Amino acid sequence: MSGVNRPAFLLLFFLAAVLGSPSTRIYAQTPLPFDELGAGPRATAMGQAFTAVADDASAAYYNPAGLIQIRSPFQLTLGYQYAKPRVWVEMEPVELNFRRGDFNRSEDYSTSGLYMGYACNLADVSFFKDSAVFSRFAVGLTFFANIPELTQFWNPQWDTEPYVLRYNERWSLFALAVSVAFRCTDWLSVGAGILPRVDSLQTSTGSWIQLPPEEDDSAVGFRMDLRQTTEVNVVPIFGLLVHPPQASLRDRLSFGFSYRGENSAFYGTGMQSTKGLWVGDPENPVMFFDDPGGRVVDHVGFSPEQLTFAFAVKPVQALIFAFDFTWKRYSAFTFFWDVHPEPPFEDVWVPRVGIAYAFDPGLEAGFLKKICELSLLAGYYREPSPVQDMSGRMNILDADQNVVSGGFGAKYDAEWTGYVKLDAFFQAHLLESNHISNDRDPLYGPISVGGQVWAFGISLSIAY
Amino acid sequence: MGVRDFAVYRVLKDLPMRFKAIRVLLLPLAVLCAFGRASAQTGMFFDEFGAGFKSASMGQAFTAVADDHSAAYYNPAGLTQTEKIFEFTAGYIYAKPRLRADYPENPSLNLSDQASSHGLYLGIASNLDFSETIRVYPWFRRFAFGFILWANLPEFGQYHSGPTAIKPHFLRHDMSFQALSISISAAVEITRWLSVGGGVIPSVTSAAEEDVFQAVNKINEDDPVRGLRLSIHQTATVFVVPILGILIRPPVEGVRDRVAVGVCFRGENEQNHGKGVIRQDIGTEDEYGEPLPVALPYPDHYNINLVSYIPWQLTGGVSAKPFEGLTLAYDMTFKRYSEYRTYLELPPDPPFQDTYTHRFGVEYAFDPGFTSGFARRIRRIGLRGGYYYEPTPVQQWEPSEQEPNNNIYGSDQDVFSAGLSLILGQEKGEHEFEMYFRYHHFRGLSRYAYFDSVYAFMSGLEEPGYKRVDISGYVWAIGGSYTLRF
Repeated sequence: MSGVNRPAFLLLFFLAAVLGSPSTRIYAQTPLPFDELGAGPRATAMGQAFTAVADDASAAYYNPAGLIQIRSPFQLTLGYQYAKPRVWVEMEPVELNFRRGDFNRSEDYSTSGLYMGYACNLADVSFFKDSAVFSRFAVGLTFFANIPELTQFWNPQWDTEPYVLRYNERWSLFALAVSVAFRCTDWLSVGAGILPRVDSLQTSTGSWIQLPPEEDDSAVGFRMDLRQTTEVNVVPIFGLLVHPPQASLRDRLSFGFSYRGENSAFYGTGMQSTKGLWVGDPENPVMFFDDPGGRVVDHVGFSPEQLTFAFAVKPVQALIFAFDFTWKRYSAFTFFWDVHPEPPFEDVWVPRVGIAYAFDPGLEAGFLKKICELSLLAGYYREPSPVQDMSGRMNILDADQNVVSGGFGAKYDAEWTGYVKLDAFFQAHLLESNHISNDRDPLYGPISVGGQVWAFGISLSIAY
Repeated sequence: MGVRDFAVYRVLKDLPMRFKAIRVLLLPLAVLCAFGRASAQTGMFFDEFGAGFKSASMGQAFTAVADDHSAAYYNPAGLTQTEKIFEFTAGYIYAKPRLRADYPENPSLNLSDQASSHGLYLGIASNLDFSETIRVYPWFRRFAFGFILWANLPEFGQYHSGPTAIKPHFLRHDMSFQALSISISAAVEITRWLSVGGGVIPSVTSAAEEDVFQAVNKINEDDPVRGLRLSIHQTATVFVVPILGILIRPPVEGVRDRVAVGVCFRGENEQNHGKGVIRQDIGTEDEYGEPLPVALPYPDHYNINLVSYIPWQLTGGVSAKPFEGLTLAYDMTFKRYSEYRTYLELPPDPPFQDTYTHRFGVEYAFDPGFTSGFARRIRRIGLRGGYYYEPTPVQQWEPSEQEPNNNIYGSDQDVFSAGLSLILGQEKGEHEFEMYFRYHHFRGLSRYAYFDSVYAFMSGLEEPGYKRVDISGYVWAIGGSYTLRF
């Protein structure tokens, strides 16, 4: 390129000017997969009304205190989960000069991944069971990992661009809850745990364009010093589980309470700036452009602080009714660059109900006679959208949703272990149609959003 | 608004008058950007600093020893030697590189200040002797499992990437880009004298594709992003690197417990981090944030990545116990560094060369026979030592007419290590406390580096060309751990 003189090169540059056009992709910023799609097959099948039930490894997320109910030195669950959003967005044509009328949803992101749950009650471990202190503890973890490709996301360039708030979980590297429970008395347990989260930012500390680029330069003269910072932060979980101390009620009634902290993870790019360096004369380069840059777009995965109050009843031994009421503090939601949405989000209450019925099928023939328990599960919850009327300049799209779920479990009495259990669930999120008039938005016209999300999962558990 | 209103146009127009002032103002920043910190592209933490406290103390000559959880990395077949159903280790490791590159002709320049690494270490191993399972399926006794993990604390994944291989940087010992190092393995005992094992090292590779629009008329306005509109498409993919191992104890009574031979293969682990394709336009936008039709597009370019590269490697090891309590170990590792690729998938020029690493380790463990107080609980004391020599894969070159494409710095290293182990408890269960120290000594090396016109400018050098560079330094690391076995 040394033969190309400077004015000619710059002229070519300007002649190559093209029309700028805004992107029309859908963007999303969504919370933890656990909060959106459930943590554990049994809990998900019961509509996530699990705070007062909390009797498998997913208690690590729903209510750590419940881990103490697992009477096994080793309980391991492995499973697969798939979720497919079918959210539609329609924009009505507009004719104003500056308004954009070509916004349409083009892609739904599916989420598929591996689920793992592990729980251990130290009271059942030979090394600890004689200890007055350690025998009161139980530990558990629940884990979901995206496969095969993860942390794939787009983020909007302007805070006015439309995007759907929920259901793109592909940015989520993994979801993990690790918890410990302590048995205070026979009727009271407490627990605590953490949700590790990852914050990541890229800052370009010295990027510059070299003009003209070398002929064989695969970076076309663009050079960059990149500073990537990733931090692990933890979000606390606390839980309480109470079985009434009266003997007649202890096995029939339970109360649960759990708290999870705000989970606001950042991804993307921090400070970014570019400098231009003209090296027409290799021995006398010239700095011709110095863009001071700024802190640019972040992707925010936001899951609000939440409190859950719950109770569960067993009117008969095989039947469980569970009720959860979760308060989610969405008013703390912030947009990219820590900007509050306009109008701000509002806090929401989510009522959940779940039911489980387990029975011995009494099968007599061959292999089937070892199936010692079948269980049927169902659940429902309604989650109002925290997004208020977005008729102003911002266009965060969301709708109230009704979520129904169901599941099936079969426990096999394996001679070589305690038991083996197969669980399967499905979940359908039905979004109520939401129309946004957008009469105060200078760029976009009326938008409607609705649709559904369906998910299913299957898992195998082994317990000793 | 026209082309003449662009800030970039105005800067270009005024260039002859501004040049000297701009250069004076930007030079300190430019030097800081180019040399304030050492850029590095290094391998996995386990490969550089060891995986496990016993193995790191013994100079990583562990392929034929492999008798704790770290066998998950060094030789999965060794997991069958795990004696307990549950072995859990938690520890802490700190490593501080002190590498330097000095330029005798330009004393104001140097390359130093590599990031330290510190983090948590976890190890789990089990002989899987679940009594219920073995009662029904006796063959299950033959299996074993192991897992090790190292996680940077409190901040990880922090790195500076080099734009090209021509930017001076050290090859090794900056681990701050590493999120996690994990090995998960299983083993099966084929016969009493032969075990085989396999495992995986999960790894992540990622790139961020960018669409950038710089609205130059918003740079000086009250815009939180100074007119920079950025859309990122971040993709991270998990892949796994295989580990395979064999452990042989001679099927001769009297020798079986005294000699072991191990072979281990680990696959190539190449990770990319940073930027992929970048599209960058410069223009203006209207009051609503709408880009105006005129823009200055820059050609799409595939941009800078950080490459973390560990070559595939084959290790043969032998260990001997001449008498009770004493273990001697020797490993020889072949590392296929000639496959090494630097940024933008380019092989360095001259290419790296394959290396052979020789490792020696020794452990002497004994019952101290303490009889009083707390000391009598100490059932066993282990003293460990190790040494290895690892030649650098970087070939050196002399100045020539042809401009080289890399300034990757490396030199041969001698690594010394030592460790101490205390085991408390009884047959039912035991507690072990371990600590170790390592010292990597880099043999001094004097060579040439080539500064192209850009780096010469950014470094404040008078002119591009060959510059002599002296490379030296050391790295030290310490660690401590607690292990519970029952």
